[in-house]
Amino acid sequence: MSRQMLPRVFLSQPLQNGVSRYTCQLKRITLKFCKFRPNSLGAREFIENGDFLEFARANPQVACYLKPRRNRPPVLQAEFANGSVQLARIDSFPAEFVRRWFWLMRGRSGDDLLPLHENLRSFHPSVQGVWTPFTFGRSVGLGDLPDSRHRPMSPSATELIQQLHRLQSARMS
Amino acid sequence: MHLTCPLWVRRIPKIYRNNDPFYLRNLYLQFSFLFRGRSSRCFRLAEQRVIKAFQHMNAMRAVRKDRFKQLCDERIDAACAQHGIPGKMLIDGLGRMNIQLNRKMLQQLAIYEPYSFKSLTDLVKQYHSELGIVPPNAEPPAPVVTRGLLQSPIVPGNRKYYE
Repeated sequence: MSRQMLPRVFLSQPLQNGVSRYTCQLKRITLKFCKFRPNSLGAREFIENGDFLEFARANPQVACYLKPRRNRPPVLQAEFANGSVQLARIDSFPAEFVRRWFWLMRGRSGDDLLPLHENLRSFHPSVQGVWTPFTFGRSVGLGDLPDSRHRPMSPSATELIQQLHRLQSARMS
Repeated sequence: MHLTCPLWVRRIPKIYRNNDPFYLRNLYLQFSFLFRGRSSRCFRLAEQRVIKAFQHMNAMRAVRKDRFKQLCDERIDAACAQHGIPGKMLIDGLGRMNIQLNRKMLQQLAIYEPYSFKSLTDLVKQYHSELGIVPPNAEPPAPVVTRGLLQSPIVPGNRKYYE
């Protein structure tokens, strides 16, 4: 059931981002916080320490917004190039964790977080060539046909008649 | 109570929202979305199937690891058989030489990098021939001067002897 409800996907980048050039997929990041409540303390410290400005200066491609909201828990909203919006609840987080969430969003592509078949993906997984029965000379699958090991499950018509004949001879004699 | 769309004017306050039976039933029905027949549509049937599905999911976690291990073992065994050694000999021999490749990586190598895998089997054959153990169906490996390095591999404890 889990595979139906949460299908597994292969690792992918939108438009093969990174193959020839890399574009940061994060377009806008908004830090919503309260100026008074204690669960926004980490967010407020993050701003006051200068980490927010440091992030904004280091990433000119990202539009960074601050949104003070009264009596609401702090939230990080990240908007990506593919149109998706991701929210990170930073309720009562220390400032360092808020900083890490910022940089994590910067590295994301905006695709949904789904379970992966494998943590790696390659379109050319084999350098030496995928194994075939002919890789090391013809050393597997050798044999002549018909092979005595390949017996069909049910007897053939000839064999049936031969069996009947044997039974009949045994009864007669 | 779930009202149809045109009549969805009843604004349920958040503190009461989860008490409405509709929400619990909808939760189960979300999980039963792709089930067969009425178990995907009717709550009283879906509840049973969904609970059973969760039990299956839980039970499969340990089983999945074992099955993957079995699959890897089978693949390694088949790949080694082409070079004349049993799969267990490869895994044991690599461990003794402190070559830390797990079953998952060995089967990936066997499929995608067959010549690297062959070189690993050659290493194992060399190690065993130095100890006097010769696998019966194997071709002898290419003669290599090892100077006893296979028998005394560099492990964290004896690193100082090699510096």
